[in-house]
Amino acid sequence: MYKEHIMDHYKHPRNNAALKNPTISHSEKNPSCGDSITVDISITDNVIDAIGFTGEGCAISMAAASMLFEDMQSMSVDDVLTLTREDMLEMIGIPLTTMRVKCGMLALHAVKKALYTYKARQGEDV
Amino acid sequence: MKEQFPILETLTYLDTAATAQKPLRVFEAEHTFGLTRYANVHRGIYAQSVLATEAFEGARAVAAKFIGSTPQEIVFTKSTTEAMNLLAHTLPITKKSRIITSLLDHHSTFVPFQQAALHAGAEFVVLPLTKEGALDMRQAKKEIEKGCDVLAITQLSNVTGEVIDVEQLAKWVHKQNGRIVVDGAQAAAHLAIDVSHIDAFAFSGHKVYGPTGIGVLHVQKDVLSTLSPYQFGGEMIDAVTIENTTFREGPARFEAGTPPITQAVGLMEALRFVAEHRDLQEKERDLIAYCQEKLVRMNATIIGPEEKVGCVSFTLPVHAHDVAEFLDKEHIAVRAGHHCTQPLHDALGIPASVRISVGLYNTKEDIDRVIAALKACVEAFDV
Repeated sequence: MYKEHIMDHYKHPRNNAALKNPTISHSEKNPSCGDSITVDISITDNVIDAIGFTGEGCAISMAAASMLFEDMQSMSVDDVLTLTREDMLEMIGIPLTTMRVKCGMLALHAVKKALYTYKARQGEDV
Repeated sequence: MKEQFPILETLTYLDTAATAQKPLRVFEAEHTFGLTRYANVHRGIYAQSVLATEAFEGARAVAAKFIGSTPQEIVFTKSTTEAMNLLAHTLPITKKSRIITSLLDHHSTFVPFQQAALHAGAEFVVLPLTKEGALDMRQAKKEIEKGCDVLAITQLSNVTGEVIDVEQLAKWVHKQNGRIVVDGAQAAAHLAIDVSHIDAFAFSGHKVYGPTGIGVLHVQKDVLSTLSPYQFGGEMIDAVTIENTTFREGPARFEAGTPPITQAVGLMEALRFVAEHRDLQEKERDLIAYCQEKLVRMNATIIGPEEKVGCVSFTLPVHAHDVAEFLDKEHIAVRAGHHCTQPLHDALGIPASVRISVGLYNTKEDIDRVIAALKACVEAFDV
């Protein structure tokens, strides 16, 4: 039903494990459908060096998380924060109905919240 | 039957619990009324307004008869949700009150009474389920006997399809001098209703093959006469002066503003349609039983007790949303999610479920089609 790449990421998710000592960790839930995700991010010198996610949800939400996390490897914190809804939809690559867009955006939403928290924390340290 | 529902030529519709498709005769009734008899009700002196008023009040009489009530006890609302809000706002709920609902209840009942209890500082009790997912009647009796000012509960679960013995609950509640408020949104479409012992009963037009924007609320007349107005405006007033206003008695007190007139005519036709097809309600039960049997055979996890009316909800190893999207590609409409019962899904420990619900127009072929598609879905996801 979904394109090959979606099913591939859904069945074999990349980075689908919790990190031992993440710099930042954040959980998000989509109450309307019950999808949930926890993202762990390890950051050195503003560059993401390790990431992992755990969670449960539909094929779209989990495949989107897997794809996003594959792309995020070695990106800078600021580059990840510039990722938009359109970037995410392009990554997913299939048309989504309004209801399903929320599923597709869950991972990006969680990652951005985590990174904003990280940046706020950095600010406090200065 | 299906010729009354042209939409079903291309769509296998199994989401009647969300909203029923309307038969042609409902559209025709609204159409004819709108083109030949329409005017505002209860106020015009001219003949056309009298005709419209007669039609509108005729609808009230038909709605009353449909549930064993009287026209003096029927308030037209916009929906079951509005009816529940009306009751949660107007029934006397104080700091000393004990308000009871159940895990089975739809957010439209659960939330208004939860909020009313929170607002008043009243005790809010949620009746639990048995291990089988049925309402725990022993616990219900115990909780009601501890004191009950309002029990707000569904007569037919929109998730498990369980029929609740509201007659029995009413006896227990009345012993405590409490009021029983029944959410009949699902029940009105699948069961013969008798509200003789029920203080308040609400259902929506669109779930009984009628229009949206209209609902029916029965309030027993001795209770109705004690309630203060819910909304203010035209139609519900007796006399207005600069200093103050007095209000009309009976249902009119709760019908501020121009009511849904054309919708009432559509609803009247829909209720006649249901009343003429009572025999098919038995077939609906057979369809759900047949569907449940097939689901069990494909290892679906069924929610709630085996005895079901109107719907069957379940989970598969594939997420509910993926199932619903897969079925959509086959032109089959089912519901996926929490069906407006988050506390129930939390208690069951599942994020979402798939619901198949039937109406008078569904056939065994519809069930065979959805089962075949579900099998293909599980295969496609290779789980």
